[in-house]
Amino acid sequence: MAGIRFEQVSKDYAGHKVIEPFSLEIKDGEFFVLVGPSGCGKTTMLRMLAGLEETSGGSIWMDGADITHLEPKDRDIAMVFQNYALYPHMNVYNNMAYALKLRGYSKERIQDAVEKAAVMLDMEKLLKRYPRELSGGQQQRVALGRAIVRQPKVFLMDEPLSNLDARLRVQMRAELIRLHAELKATIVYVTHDQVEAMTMGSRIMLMHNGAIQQVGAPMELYGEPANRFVGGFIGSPPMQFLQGSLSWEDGRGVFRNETIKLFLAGDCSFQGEVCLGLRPEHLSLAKEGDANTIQGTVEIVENIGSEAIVHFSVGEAPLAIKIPTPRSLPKNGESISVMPGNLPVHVFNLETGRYIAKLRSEG
Amino acid sequence: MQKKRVFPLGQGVLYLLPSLLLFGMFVFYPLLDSVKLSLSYVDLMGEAAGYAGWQYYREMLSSAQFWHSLGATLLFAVYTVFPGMFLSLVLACLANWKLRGIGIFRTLFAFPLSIAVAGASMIFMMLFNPSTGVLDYFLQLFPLPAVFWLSDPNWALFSIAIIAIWRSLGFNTIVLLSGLQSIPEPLYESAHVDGASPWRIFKDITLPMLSPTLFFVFIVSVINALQTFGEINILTQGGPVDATNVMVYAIYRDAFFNQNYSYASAESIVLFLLILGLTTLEFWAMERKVFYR
Repeated sequence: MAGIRFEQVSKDYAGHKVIEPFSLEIKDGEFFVLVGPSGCGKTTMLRMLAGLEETSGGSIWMDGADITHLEPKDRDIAMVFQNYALYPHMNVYNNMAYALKLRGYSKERIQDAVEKAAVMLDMEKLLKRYPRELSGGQQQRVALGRAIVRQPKVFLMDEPLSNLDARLRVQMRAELIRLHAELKATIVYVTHDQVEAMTMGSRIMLMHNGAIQQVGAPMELYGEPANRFVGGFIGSPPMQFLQGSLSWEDGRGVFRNETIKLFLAGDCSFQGEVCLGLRPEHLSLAKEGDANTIQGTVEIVENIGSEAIVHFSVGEAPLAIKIPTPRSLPKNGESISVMPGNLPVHVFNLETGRYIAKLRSEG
Repeated sequence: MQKKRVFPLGQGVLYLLPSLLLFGMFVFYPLLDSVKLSLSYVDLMGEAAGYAGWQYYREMLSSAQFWHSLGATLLFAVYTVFPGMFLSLVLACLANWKLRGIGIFRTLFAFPLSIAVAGASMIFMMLFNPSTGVLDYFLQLFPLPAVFWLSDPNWALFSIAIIAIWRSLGFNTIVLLSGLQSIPEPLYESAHVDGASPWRIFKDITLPMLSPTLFFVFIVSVINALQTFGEINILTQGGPVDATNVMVYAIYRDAFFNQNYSYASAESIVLFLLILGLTTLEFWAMERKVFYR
């Protein structure tokens, strides 16, 4: 177990910066999730930590030691690859034992370690099988087992669940959370799936175009997104945006564009062009006589039983509302009236996308 | 139901027909005819003229010449197969490096494939020449005694093997390189993270993953070695003192110089059975050790 520190680490390929210089500290025992859309640089960052990729600048520290130029094998890490990278010609036991054999451990010690990991992952019966005889979920377990037997300081996981079907992914997610609690190890986990990031991470780092957007606990990213990108990435369905201008009249914030006018309350002095971020789960259907509402036209209704997402448009802008326990739902083409009703409304600078303030709608 | 089954079968046969015709004409018919000729008296026109039974087989098995040819053939296979595979594996591994301009080397390594046996033989005839050849020139620099590559009975088979190895490098390297390239990169990375040295990675990942390709190259190399003819016909004609009189060349000489068609047919049937037997043996002995993904 160990803490990790990146100091001004950057990466370029052929003169092209793929990761902007960044500094970051990952604490001992943390489940740290690197999340972002594909091509954002998160896997490159993980591979630099693993030693599979050279850094172009800066240094990486583990447990107070500079590991920037160490070989992967000297870093005391274990890695779980996206496609598992199981050795196809070795059975499960040997797949898990390989790293220990290379370290010259005794047969008994190896057997002990492998069996312990197998029990932990509930796959004692699979030890004799070959990877091709295993299902995707089982292969995934072997890949985890291979990392666990090593008892490394740090576990690195590169989208380990992305090749599994949806049901299995949910199951493995819970399993990983349990494993983390059991092993108390530092895990650095890469994913493009914000749900995985939110549910598993002690802390999340969201990346976009090779730059860090925000680092923090899941609820920090959800509740106080540092910019418009973070707001739009975290949350399901994602935050929706309205463009317009914000002004303050008699202590009330007024948001205006061609189609709507919304009164806002809160502590903020910014005036000018803004982007309003509304979370679908923070909106509710307006009742007759409600003031401060948003009018729109229903476009798509997604009903998944426990809740429904209604997509509607306000002028040109698409918005969505999440309706819990749907009974009677609006139909396509109907007009709809929703209100933010004293729930958070995020204000971003329209030009820079930066977070300005969290306001509340009046009403 | 019945009709459904018949139609695709007929269609399948139709698709196979061109190859069946060619194989039939140039492989299956000659094979069967050789069996027949080897059991018959044959006139000078090559026509069967009466049943001879096993006479020619008995004659062959009691001939020292035959056993010598068989020995030379097997020795030639030993000379060529393993060194050829080893060298092409080295070349394929080199060509598998991701370097700038590696494509040029890959093309160069495959180059022997494009040179006909006659051309290759002429090139090596010059290299092997004891008075003007480059090889002896280098030997004398060291200084080592000159070798009479093609005219010394102790060296001739070995010299022919060098040509055969060189000629096989192109094909073998291409096949092995494609085998190497089909090994997924994450396996290497995983082994790297697991702490494997380059040699362990080669031994534990590359070789097992390459085993089907190596097996294929091995089978093809053995068959090719047992059937070598061109270099020998051009450079040594089986000599000196029968040193390079391998079975295929002996068959050729018995059939078309000595006009002994029956005897040559018997020899060719034995060679056929030898290749068949060896290949079967190789499959039996090695297939279990080959890992197919």
